[in-house]
Amino acid sequence: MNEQEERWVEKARSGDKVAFGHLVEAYQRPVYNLTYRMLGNPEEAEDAAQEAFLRAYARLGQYDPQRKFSTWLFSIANHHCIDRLRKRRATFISIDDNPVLQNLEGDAPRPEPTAVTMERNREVQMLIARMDPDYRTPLILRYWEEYSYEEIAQTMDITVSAVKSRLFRARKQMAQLVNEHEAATTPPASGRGSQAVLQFSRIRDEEPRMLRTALAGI
Amino acid sequence: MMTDNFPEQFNRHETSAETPTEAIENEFTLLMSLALDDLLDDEESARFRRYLHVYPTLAAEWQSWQKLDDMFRATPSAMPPAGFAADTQVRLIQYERRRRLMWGLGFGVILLALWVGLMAGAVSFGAFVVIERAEWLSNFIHFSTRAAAGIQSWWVVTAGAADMLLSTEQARLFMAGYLAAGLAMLAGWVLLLRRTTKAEPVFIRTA
Repeated sequence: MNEQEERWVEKARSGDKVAFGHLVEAYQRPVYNLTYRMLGNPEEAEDAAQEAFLRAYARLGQYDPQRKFSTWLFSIANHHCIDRLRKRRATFISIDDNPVLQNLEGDAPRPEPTAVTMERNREVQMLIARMDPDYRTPLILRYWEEYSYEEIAQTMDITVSAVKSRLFRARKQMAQLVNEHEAATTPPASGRGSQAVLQFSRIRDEEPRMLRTALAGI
Repeated sequence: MMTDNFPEQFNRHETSAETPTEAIENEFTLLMSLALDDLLDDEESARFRRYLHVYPTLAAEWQSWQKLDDMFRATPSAMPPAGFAADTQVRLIQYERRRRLMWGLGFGVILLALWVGLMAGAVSFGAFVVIERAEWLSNFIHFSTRAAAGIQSWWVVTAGAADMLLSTEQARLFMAGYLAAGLAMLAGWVLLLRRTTKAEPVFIRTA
């Protein structure tokens, strides 16, 4: 956390909403990414991210300045997402109607890279949605926030060895999901492993467009 | 191919067959996860490379894991919709308003409960006294009324007497003399106190 952020946190703790607004602007992208990757639904992710910020504002008095602000904030957002996933009833989410795919980060004027990026995002999101919620968080923090194992442990309030274990299980589960797709839709003669990811895109297009995300890990 | 650094069980696993055992597969999976995060130490790294070399199925699995890893790393972060921060600020203001309202409501409810409690207590006490202690209450009211009337009469008489006394020349002179004597006595007493409290000098004998 840089000095500017420290000042914002300090001011926000004394009730300065403008300073908290700066923190929201600074952390909106990672917090939204976490909630979106966890929940898979852009509207719900937006609501959850905003709720996470409100909870953070309400609990600023409990924030320990010795701790990294982002890990504390992610911890709140993560717990909130897990609560929502637990409460969530079986709902259907349309992959095609997903507005978040229109808001992907990066330069977007050229149509071809955008389509590739959207396709990749869709595949990644499908994989995450089918994973156990406990395994999603370490993956998201590791890949998108480039968090160290220690930082993930702080965010999730678990030990470093538990992070190691969860990341390992998450990747294993991911590989299994890809293999299951391959086994379910390709002829028996085809190989496993390395071809699975490439085939995943093709296979997915043949699937029904509605994805029952709530089935994953609830 | 084997080195002395490895436990016997791994040597046995590796030389026993072309296909890895379940134990080796599990260990290899863990090593793959650590390898993707560049967290293998030297020994683990050597073991990992050895497994890759010995077991083609594990090498194929490693390739698929790498592709998955690449896919995740290449996927951009999801961006919040436009106006997210502004919407959050609006919600924050609403939240604050709601919180203040809840506090106000809570405070109001507590005050109301206290008032109702006090009123109920007073009414209960009154009812108890009227029903159970009617005679005592009657006596108390009589006594209070008489006491109030007595005090009032005493005050009227005393004030009238003082008024009458002060209206005569002799009484006024007597009062002035009394006051002067009182002041003189007070001044004398103060002087006496000051003299008696003065510190006496202390003499120190020298050898």
